[in-house]
Amino acid sequence: MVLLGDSRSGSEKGYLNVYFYPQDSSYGYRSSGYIYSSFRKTAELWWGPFQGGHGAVYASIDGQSDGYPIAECDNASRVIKYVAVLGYCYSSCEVVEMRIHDIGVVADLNRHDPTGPDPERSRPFDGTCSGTTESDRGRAFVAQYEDIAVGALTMAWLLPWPALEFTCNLIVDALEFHLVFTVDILGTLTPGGCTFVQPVLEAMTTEEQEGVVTKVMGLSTIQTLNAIIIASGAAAMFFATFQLLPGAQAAYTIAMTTWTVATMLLIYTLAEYYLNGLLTAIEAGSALIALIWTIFTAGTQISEQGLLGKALSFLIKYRGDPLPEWGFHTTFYWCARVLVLLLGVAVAAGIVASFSEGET
Amino acid sequence: MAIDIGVDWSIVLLAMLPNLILAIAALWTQHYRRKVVRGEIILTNQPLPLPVRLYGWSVRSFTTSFVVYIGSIAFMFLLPLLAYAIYWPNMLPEYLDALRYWAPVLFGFTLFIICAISPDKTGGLGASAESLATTRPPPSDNSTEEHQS
Repeated sequence: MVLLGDSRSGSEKGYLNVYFYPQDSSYGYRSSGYIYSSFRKTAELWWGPFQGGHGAVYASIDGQSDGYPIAECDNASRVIKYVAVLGYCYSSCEVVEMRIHDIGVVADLNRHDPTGPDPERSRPFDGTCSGTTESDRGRAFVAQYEDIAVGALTMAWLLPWPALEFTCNLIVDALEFHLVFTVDILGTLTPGGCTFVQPVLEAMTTEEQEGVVTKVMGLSTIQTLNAIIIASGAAAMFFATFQLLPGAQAAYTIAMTTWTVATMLLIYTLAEYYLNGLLTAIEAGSALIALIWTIFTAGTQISEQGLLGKALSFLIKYRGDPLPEWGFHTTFYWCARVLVLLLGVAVAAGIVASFSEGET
Repeated sequence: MAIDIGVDWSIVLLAMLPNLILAIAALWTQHYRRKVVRGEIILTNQPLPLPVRLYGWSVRSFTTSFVVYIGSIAFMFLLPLLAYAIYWPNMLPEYLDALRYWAPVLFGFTLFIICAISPDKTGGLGASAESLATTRPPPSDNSTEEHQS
């Protein structure tokens, strides 16, 4: 602490003192002594090595010091916790007469090995916004996928004609993706092969695979989009509930993006079918009901008390509460809802307008 | 006899009505819950809005939920089925063909929704709403700050 003081009422007698308050002992200080005229002095407080101990705090005023420290201090990284400047005078003097002209604080971390901050100790928060810097969570999120990418990629030089072979072998749960390509010293890129293995599809016979393909191809566009909407809506609900699962944030984003795109395509397709006279009332009604219910459920959580919540209780440690606050995800979800609603209203208005034009 | 397109759509819209009411009640409750959590609404003994009460009633027990939601979907399919069977039998084959896809999908999806939202004793308002309902605002702090002389 730097104390700039006026020692007595009615007399222009001042002083400048520098104090150091150790955590568990009495303070040490350096004093300028009383000064009976105007003065401009520089006080310094610093940590330095000390014989017989790990270190000590020194102080000087205008470079004058007796060479002895004002207090011993072993933990150099925690020497200065607060810096305070106190101007002190009697009421008969004008405060404006005493001014602190400049304060400089230097953290010289090269002089010793700083002790790292204690991670278990809470850090004081003064209410200042953290600003737009990258958050630790965001950095960890990106780093996680960087690690996956680095782990999946292997490179090897091929000879005699020098070419760098990239092999990507990505395995996510039971899905395997294998990609090989080479780049030679002239920059020529040659694909080596690309395979995608899905165990369920692999286990199916050719007839079963053809049956699935026929079934999927037999669905109308509305039915296909509706199936995608329901599946992505349910997936978004699952990952919003079990938001602590690895990759839940990315899965939620993918599910919500898929839901939004499929929803918009469905609205467009419904309008197109209607205007072309291909839409049946029951198909429109069923698609709209599924659409409305996914608007309600897509971003919500599975109730813990509900039957599904109980059935999935083995995932309870991954359950996050309340709804995920993944930055843009919440905003994105509401934007998606509003977009879908606006598009729905616009298409409905267009249909009504074309219908009334046809009547006139 | 061919069905008039307006009548056809009216029948389907009428059949959708219970589902629409339940969906609106669900959305209303979600909005209401968010306001309660934010503290914009303090729950007291005054009655909840009608849609919130309707949704709460529909999810408090699994049996009620099952009857209400599966019933509303069944109504959605049965009303046109009955109407077509009685007045427009020529529409039945096309309708039944559409049901082959939509009936299992919507019944399955509704079952998923029921299992996800019920039973919920809080009526969809969540535990936070329960705690807010029993919490009184803290007494105002009239103590003055002590100053050292």
